[in-house]
Amino acid sequence: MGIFDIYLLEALINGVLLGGVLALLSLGLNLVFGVIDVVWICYAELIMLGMYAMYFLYSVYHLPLVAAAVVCILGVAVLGVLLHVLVIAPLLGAAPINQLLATGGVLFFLQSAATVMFGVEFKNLGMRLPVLKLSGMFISYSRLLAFAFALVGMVLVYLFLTRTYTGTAIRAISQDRQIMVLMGVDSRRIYLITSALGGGLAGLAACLLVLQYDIHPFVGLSFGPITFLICVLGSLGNFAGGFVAAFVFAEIIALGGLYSDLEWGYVLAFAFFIVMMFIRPQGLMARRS
Amino acid sequence: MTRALPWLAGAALIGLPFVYNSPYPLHILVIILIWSFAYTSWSVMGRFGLTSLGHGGFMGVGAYVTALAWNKAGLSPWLGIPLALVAAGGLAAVVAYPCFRFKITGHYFALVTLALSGIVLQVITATRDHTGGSLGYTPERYQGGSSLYALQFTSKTTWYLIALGVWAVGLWIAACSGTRWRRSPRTRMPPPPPAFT
Repeated sequence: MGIFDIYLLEALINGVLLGGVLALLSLGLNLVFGVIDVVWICYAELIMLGMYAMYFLYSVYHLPLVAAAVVCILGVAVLGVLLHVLVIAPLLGAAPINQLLATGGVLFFLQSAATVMFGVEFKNLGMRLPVLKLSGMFISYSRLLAFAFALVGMVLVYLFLTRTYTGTAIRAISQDRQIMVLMGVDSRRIYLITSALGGGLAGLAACLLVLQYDIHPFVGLSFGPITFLICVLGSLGNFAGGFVAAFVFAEIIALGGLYSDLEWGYVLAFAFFIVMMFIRPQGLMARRS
Repeated sequence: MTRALPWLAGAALIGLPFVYNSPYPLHILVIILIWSFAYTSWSVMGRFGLTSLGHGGFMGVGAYVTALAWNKAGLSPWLGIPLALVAAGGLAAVVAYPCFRFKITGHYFALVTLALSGIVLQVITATRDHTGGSLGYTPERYQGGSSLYALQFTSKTTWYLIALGVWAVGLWIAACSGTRWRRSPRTRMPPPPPAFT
C-alpha cells in the first residue's frame, strides 16, 4: 500500500466518471434557471419519465437502442415545453416561492402518475454492459459511456450558446430579462427553446442513467436533491461553476464510499454543502461584489 | 356567532368518531391531522420568511428516536417523545445557529434545510443495522395490544382523539408565536399572511 493505492485510484476515477453524469444532470437545470429564472424542482422526475420511455421503447417495443434514445430525448424535450407552457408560463410574474411550489406539485404529480401507470416494481433494460479491467481496477463501461456523452453534450450546449444567433439571444435574455425584450428579442420563443433544450438534456441524462440504474417511480428522489444542490454550489445559472461543483461532490461521495459506506459519502457531501453555504452562499464560482 | 364558530367546529370534530367510526375514513382523518400538525409547525417558521425543506428530516429524527427508544431500551414513548423533541430540536438548533450567525435566509436557508434532510435520510440508510435502513422500522407490539404505557391502541377512535389534541396544541403554539411576533417592535419583516387561525 503505497501512496498510489490502487483502490484509491479506482475510487478517484469512478468519482470523475460519476462527476461527469452529475455535471450533465445539473446542466439542464442550470440552463433553465439561468435563462427563465425558475427552478424546476421536478427536473429529476422528467428524467424518471425519460427512463421509463427508454424501458418501454427498448425492452417492450424492441426498438434499437440508439433510436430509442433519440425518441426519448425528443419526448422529454416535449415534456419540458409542456411543463413550461402549462405550469411555468402562467406563473412567470408570480413570487419565486409560488413557482418553486408549483414545480414541487408537478414533482408529486409525476411520481404518483408513474406509480399508477407503471407500478412500483423495479424495472431495467435487462442488458449488462461489460466492465473494463485496467491493471487491477474495475471501471464500469456504462459509466465511461455516460461520462463521454456528458462531455459531448456539454460541449455541444456550449457551442450552441456561443456560436449561434439563437444561443446569443438566450444568453442575452439571461443577462437582462427586461431590456432584451425592448431590443426585439421574443422572450416567449426563447423560453420555449430553453425549456426544450433543458428537457432534451434531461432526456439525454435519462438515456445514460438507464444503463446503470433500475427504474422505479421514486428514482428521481435519489439524484434530484443532489443535482439541485450541485447547481446551487456552483452558483445557479453558472455552467462552469456547476461543472466544478459536480466533480467536487462526486469525489467526496466516491472517497467517502471508499473508506466507509456509500451513504456516508453522501452525508459528507451534504455536510460539505451546508458548510459551504455558510462560507460562500453565492456558490463556489461567484464573483465577489 | 363568528367567535363561537371555532368552538363549535372543535366540538363537532371531538364528537365525530362517536357518531361515525368506520376505521378507514378515521385512519385518513388521523393522517390529515398529523400532517396538519406538521404543516402548522412549518407555517410558524414560514411567517418569519424561513422556508424549511428539512421538516421531513426533523419528523424522521423524532419518529426514529421514539421507536428506537422503545425497541432497544424499552423506554416508554412517554419518555421517548420528550427525548425525540429534544433530539429534533437540538439538530435544528445546531443548524439554525450558524444560519442566523451568517445571515443565511431566504432561498439559501431552504437549501441548507434541504441538505439537512438529505443527511438525515442517508444517516438512517447507512445505519441500517440498527434502523432497518430503507426497509423501514416498526415499533414492537406491546403484549396486551392496547396500552397507555406503550401508547399503542387498537381503536382508531383513540388515535383520532390524540391526533386532534396534538393538532390543537400545535394551533395554540402557532397562535401564541403569532401574537408575540406582532407585539415585538424590533421585527422588521413583511406582514404575516392574514387569517392564519
